[in-house]
Amino acid sequence: MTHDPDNSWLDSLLSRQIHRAPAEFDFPGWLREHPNEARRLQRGFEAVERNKEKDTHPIWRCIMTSKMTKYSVAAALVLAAAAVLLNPLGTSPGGVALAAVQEKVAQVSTMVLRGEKVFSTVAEPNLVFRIDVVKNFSRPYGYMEEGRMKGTLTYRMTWNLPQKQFLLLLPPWKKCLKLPFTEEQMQIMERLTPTRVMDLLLETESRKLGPAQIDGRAAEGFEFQDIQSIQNIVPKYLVDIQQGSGTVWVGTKELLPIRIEGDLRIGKCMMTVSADMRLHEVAVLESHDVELPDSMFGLEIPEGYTEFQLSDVPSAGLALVDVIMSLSGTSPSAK
Amino acid sequence: MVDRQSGSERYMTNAEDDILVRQALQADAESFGQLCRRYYPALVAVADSILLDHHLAEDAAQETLAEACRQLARLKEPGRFGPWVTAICRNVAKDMLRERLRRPAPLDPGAPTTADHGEEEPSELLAKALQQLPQRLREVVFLRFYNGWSYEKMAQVLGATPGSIDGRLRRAKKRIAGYLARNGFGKGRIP
Repeated sequence: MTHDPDNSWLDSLLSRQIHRAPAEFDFPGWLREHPNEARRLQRGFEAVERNKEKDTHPIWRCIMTSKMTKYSVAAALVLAAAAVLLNPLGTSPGGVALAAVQEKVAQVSTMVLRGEKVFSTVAEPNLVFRIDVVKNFSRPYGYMEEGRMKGTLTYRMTWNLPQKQFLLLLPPWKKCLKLPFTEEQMQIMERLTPTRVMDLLLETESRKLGPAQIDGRAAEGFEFQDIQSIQNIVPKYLVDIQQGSGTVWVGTKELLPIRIEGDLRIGKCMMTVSADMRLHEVAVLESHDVELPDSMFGLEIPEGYTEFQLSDVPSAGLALVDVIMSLSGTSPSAK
Repeated sequence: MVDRQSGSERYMTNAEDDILVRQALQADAESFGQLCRRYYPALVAVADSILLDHHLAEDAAQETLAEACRQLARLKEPGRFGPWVTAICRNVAKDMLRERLRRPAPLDPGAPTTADHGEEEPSELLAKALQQLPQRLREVVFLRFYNGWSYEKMAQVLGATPGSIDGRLRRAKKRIAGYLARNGFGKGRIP
């Protein structure tokens, strides 16, 4: 036997065992798969570092590891959906005196927006569900949103900041879901405020639409063709925002967003009860800095309501959408 | 301007990496692409040495580059992009491995077992020999034999000298040879 201190006899064996054809890297494909990183590369890092992009994954990791488990997830989902889907207290993206708009938004104590959400399924585009929505935001008391179909109150969700509790009412079923939040969860929810969500929007490219009259008010418009920065704000299995575009009209006098329009395509996920859906939403600023009583954000449960059970969660998916489905007679849980 | 030639075969230098990183930080996306193309094969090899799954390794390499992009502004020595991104890759792959170990492995009734053959195939034994290597040594073996890289290129990726790479490779092969011999597949029996 010849001496072989290098064990070179293994080389051909190891090569056969391990060798792979050189992996080619598809950079354009990678950019498409990683839009946030692509944006960072295209804009340069200095600008991005100034904006301090927020990593939302730890937020959701906290939620998912919480002892409150599925109820918390359901509540978080509702809140996140409320926050993501075009709430107003953000900033105008880089147009009319951005700093002034930001400052004005920071000073606003209350806002009331009125609008509508129109859901349609991708599979059956003619199947349309329309909800009239009123959004009430109060810095001291929290957030309350009501949705009505054909004038009937179908949901009310309240996020009560002082009491650190969340309440979802589903009048058609007389179901309710009331949840206390731990301090940690409150912090998580606060990070999901519209302002923070809109901060993410600031990282996206926008196109100036120029001046226009919106509902009789002078405004400047900004169009987002791609709102991918908010795609990852919630896990895809909860809210799978696949595509989105939107327009924000900033009142030149108010220096506040006065009309927000958005189109989102949402893939199969819990929120859509495993259906591909499109959502068109319009929200118009009705008033701001008006008095909103604390009772508006109350957590009283009307008589006759029963608790939204854990077993309702998988069958109902996100309650909001399930209500919509049920009113059209397509949800089994509406029976 | 750094040459845009692509492919992992091109010799890499710290100076070029330094320039590419700095250009990437100045919104030159293609410079980052060039870095990706340079290091992707190495990252796949490193990840595969941890995960022992080529497809997962590719996923890990892609995620590594995303993480590198997110952290690029924090890289203190742009010329050491290679060792830095390799370190990220190890962490990403280890996270993926932990995640995989948490999930129960699906049963594959059709999978061949040792008992089916009575005796292990040489390739199976070699795979086991690689598995029993310490990660630090297995990584060198994978880098060397995955794409047939030179010691110089491996040194660039690992932030080590060619001499130390050579030493690690010798130790790794010595362990593999010992494992094979203990299991009845000495030098003379392996085809």
